[in-house]
Amino acid sequence: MKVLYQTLVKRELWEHRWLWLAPVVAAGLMILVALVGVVAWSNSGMNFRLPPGANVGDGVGMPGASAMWLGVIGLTAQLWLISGVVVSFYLLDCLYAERKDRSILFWKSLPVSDFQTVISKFSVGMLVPVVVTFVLVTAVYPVMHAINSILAPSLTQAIGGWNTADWLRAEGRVLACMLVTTLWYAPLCAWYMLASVISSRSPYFMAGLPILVLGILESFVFHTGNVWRFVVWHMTPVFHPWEGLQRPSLWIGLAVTAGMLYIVIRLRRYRDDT
Amino acid sequence: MSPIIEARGLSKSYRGGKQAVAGVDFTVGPGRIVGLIGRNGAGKTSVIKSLLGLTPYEGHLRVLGRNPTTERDVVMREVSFIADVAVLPKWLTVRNALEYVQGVHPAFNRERAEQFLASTDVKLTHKVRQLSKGMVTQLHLALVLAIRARLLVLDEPTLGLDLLVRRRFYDTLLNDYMDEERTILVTTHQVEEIEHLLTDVLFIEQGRIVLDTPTEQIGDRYAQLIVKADQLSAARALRPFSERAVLGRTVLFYENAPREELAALGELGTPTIADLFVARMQKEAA
Repeated sequence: MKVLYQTLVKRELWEHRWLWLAPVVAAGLMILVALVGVVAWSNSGMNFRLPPGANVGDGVGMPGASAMWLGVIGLTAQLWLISGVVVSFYLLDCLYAERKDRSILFWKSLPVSDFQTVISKFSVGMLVPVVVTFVLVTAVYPVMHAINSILAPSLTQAIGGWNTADWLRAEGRVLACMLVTTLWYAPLCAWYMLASVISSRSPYFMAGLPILVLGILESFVFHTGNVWRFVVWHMTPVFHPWEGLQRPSLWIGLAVTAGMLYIVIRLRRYRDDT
Repeated sequence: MSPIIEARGLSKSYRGGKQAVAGVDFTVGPGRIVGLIGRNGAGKTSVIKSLLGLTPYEGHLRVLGRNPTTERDVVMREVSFIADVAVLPKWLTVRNALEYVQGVHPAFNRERAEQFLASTDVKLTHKVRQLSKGMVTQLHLALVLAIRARLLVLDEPTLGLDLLVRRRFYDTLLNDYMDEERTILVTTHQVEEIEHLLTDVLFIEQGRIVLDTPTEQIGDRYAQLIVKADQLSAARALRPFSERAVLGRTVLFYENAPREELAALGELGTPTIADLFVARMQKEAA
């Protein structure tokens, strides 16, 4: 069972290498940009000093946040966004491409149930962004910090040096945020898979069209924008994990997710268009 | 021994009311190589998709004693299937293909697959996209040969392949796959190429089985007579079900006809499966 699941996950990562490659490349570019930025800073002769007792976050609307805290969160946000984009494409593609190239006949010639297939794809879509983002942030932030402290020691000194406790707190916080946000996004993932399994032409169209039509209808008929607001609300990450877990809509969303996955499994099982 | 496939009143209708399979009965025993032969749209693929639990059907159907729809996951542990060469995904590398099947199939013998591949030009590092059609077939064969399946279903497996590859495909199946326990069900319209290896034939036309016979009994039941023009009317009097003119002579096909009388009129023989198929189809059309 365990080997089966591992194999199914590996198969997804073989086909969709961008799932992890895109964030890795992005992280590499970020290190490069940081390197160039720091060199430029130290060559410019600019100087910077925080007033005593102040934090870097004070100036950017996050009072009390240290540079370290902001750094980890900022890095996470960027990598998470990139992961989110590639994983959206992955989920929209994952049950459509196999029908388009008829490889579904090969996958279905092996003793893997539709339940196992759909769950493996769903779990890849849910877990890869968290795992990849967290691993990269954990690896990349210390590297960036090291670049700063070697090439621009005065800057590092000015905004605050390495603080392991602070770093661990930041790491814990972003991990919790990502985990709860992942649960919050579960219905979105299932919705993409539903579009992917239903679609005979374009899963992108299939995922967007119903929402577009509903939203336009609503604004014409009722002159309100609840559909748009709902969608934006459900795509907004959770910044306060504990508060997020207490939202009833998160749990309703998970129930809806289970229902949608059930339909996805049924459709992959009985749909016959190859 | 219990049958490998048992179909009673198997029907399949598509939306819009088109009936692809119209209540067919047939049984396939272990150790047989059965050719399911029919024209395009005759219902071959619908029968096969029903057997593999890929599509809903009506009627009674058992594969290895199980219901292929509700027990699909169990059935597929002992059934292998090759649709045609185009279904292996292009991005897959040969090594990954082996690793995948090893990971998901309890009865897969990776060493055996690698041994088979070693005798071909297929390298482990190749991607399917880089392989020729013939090489993809060899890869797919390697995967299937290394699975101890009791039933192998082949749906037009050699479509679009050149003669050499087709020949090698079937030779490999016979030499490396077949034994008394294993069963093959194959559809093709290149009947000539496989008729020497079939043990049974099923002719399907417009969703119905029009002939179901072991190949060794074809000679008992059917006869082919080649006559010159002067004997034609006498030969026709013995009620052939089909005939065709070839180079000034006429070939007539008979079912359960008196052999001595036929032999007196011309050259008597057993029709090939391909000839029989064409003759039967003409009869159906008439």
